[in-house]
Amino acid sequence: MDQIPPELIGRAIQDPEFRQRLLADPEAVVRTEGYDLSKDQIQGLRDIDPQAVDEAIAALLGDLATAKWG
Amino acid sequence: MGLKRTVPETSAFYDRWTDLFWHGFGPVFQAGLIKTGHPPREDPTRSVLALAERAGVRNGDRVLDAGCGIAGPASIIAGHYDRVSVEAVTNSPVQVTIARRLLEQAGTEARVTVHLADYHKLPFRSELFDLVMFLESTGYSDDLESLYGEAARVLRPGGRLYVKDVFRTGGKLRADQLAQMASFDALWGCVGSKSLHESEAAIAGAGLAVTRVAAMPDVGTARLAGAMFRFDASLGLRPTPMGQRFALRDLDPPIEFGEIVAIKPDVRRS
Repeated sequence: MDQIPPELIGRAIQDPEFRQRLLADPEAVVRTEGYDLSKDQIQGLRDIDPQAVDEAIAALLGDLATAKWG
Repeated sequence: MGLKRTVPETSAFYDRWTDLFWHGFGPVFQAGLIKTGHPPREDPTRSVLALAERAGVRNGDRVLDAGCGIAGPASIIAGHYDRVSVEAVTNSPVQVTIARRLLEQAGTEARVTVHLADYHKLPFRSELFDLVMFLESTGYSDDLESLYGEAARVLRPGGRLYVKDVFRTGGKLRADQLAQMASFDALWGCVGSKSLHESEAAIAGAGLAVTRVAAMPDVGTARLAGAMFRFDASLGLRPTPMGQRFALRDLDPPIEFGEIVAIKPDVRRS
């Protein structure tokens, strides 16, 4: 997948509700939020399994509340 | 005494990790960016310009960026204000080399000069600057008296000090919070994150008149978090090289972003 803007990834890590919306309908969220992503990047986001992301965040960062510090 | 310990450690930390930060962060080495625009976004250039505005940068100013990283903010400011000159100080030789190259690429090298120096002992004459800025750099000092004393020395009467940083939250910390602060500082190579109140007191002690001390709730860290990870179709999320080294796990350090503005009194006018 082409590189997704770090701020977008960070917001998805820090905000579960945003993450859910982004991975459910990336095209709509990207348009609403004003990010400039290619079709390949949008498709790449569609290919992501939201549950896998949730599990990865829990495994990599522990308490989700701490994710704001990376 | 602090200099003997602080300077080599910070220099070595940034000599080692600057390349990783550069590729993770880009040229602005700041954990938090001011959210600007509608909808609010963490854009490094706009954030630096918002900081410059809060610091009161004006065309014609001579600015010191103390703890400049690879001079990303200095270059942005010089690119925006066509009659501002910036002296940028870092104690990392690696950062000096990269900064000079990036300034040439940006075409701002004529108005930004990068110095290899210790910001506790600045290589400038007294009363040279209109503005001294510390942008997320005071945590590398264990001698606030020297730090702000030097800033006060090089400011002209009526000149301004602007500090934006990650501060330890005020008040007495519990043992577990102290442990988390120690882990946070160790991770980022800080000597010890200061509280806003400690910093304010040190600035006042240096003879500067503090005009603003405030938390910065409009600063976000999504870009920092996003520099640590990538989406991955099979794993969901994968750490970047920066995330492998710097991502926090199970830590919730008692920290906040804040800013301090101060003015060097002009005794000639009083």
